[in-house]
Amino acid sequence: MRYLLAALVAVAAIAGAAHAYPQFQIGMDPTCTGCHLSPAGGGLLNENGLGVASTLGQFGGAPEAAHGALVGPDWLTVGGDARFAAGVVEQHKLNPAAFPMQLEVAANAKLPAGFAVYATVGGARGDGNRPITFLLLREHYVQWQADEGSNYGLFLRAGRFMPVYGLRLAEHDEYTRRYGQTPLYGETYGVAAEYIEPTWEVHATGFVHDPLQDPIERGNGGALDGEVRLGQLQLGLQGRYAKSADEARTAGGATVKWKASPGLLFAAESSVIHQTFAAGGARNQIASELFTSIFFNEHWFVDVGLGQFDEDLKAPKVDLEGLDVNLHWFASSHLELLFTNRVQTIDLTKGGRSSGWSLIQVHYRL
Amino acid sequence: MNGIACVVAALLASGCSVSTDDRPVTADYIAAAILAPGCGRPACHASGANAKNYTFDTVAAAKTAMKRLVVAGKPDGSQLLQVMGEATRTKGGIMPPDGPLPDADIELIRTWITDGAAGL
Repeated sequence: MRYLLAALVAVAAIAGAAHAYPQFQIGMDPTCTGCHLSPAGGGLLNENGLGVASTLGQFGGAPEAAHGALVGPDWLTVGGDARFAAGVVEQHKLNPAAFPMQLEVAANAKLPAGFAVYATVGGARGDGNRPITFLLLREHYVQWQADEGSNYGLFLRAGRFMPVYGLRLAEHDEYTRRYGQTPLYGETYGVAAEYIEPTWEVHATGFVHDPLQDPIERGNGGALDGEVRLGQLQLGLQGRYAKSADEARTAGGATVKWKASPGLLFAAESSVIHQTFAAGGARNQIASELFTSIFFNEHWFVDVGLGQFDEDLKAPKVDLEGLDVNLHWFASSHLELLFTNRVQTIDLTKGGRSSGWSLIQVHYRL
Repeated sequence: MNGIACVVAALLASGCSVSTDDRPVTADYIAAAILAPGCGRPACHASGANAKNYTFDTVAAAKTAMKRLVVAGKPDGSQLLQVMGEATRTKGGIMPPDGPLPDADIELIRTWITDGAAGL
């Protein structure tokens, strides 16, 4: 029973929310807005995104919400995500695991004059003492777009969303997300000005922590993310600052994405984080990820990722290294199966503790 | 500006090896630098999940939890170390469950408890 509980807690820690696949950028569309309604990517798909979903699915199917049954008026887009995972989590011994990852519905309503309202409602692992915590209003914001209907130009957002920083990988357990600046449920309230062109984009966000729902990001601050695309190469720079009652973090990072061939994409992200603690003390951290995506065809691809996180550059033997192998299969325009695997070890080459997992994920997009 | 300078310095120093652990051995530092990021994660011991009625995502919450899990001067009798340590590890119930804490972090906590667990 104890093993089962430990495994359930472990998998709850791994559970998360679906986002975009930045692996598709450059190869399919130059920007996130090529497929998504959000200027930062993730969540509901636009018309082109639905077309891509139809193409990706090996057995096709109508890509619209509920296979076309929930298609409403032009001004309203609805959707959702359900994810479930099962497999084993290893830490000294193998523990079986099966758990829900995500159950979330989303809607976007176009308003006149370039305005839109976007909202998601879902469930989370809550505090049994406070049932309201099982309800998660992860994203909700008002968006204004200067060039309505275009994928490009100026976007302004105000509300609750993730401040844009880095590669924005869907895999939130990658070290650059988990230990970086975009942890799971790290959405904040903020305002963002975002400008997107085919060859470059910039996102500037000012944010405060959520005073209503229990926040993961407890700081207030700002983030700046810029990307330049030179053919099949994309280069990015990021900066972020957040200060809470307990600590302050200043982060700077760089990203590279290179579509080396139609079937091969390299992506890398590295951030340095300077953290000072209100009670005294400071440290510098580095979180890095190197991702290689190999596309077998339009329905199958595999990611091989190498991650490294050093929680304190001045402390010995606290570095964490991980290897990920994730196999994606888009069975239909709504159904994805993902076989995700990780081995990780502390203080590589010195015999540090190791752990990992091997999970089958079922992802159904409403 | 100071923060940016530190980030640049850290980048330059990232390739250097280190051999001594001179981190502060205090309750506040352990709460903020080890327990909050290691245990106070979403779906685990963050406020919104409060697994097992333990919350670690702020210094104040972590110190409250530590009071229930630490016996000053007795590291081996402290549940905080037991759930992270070898004894639990062999039974498969180690925390954090999706990846262990570094031994250096556990040793820092052990030293603090052995020295009297001041600051709680």
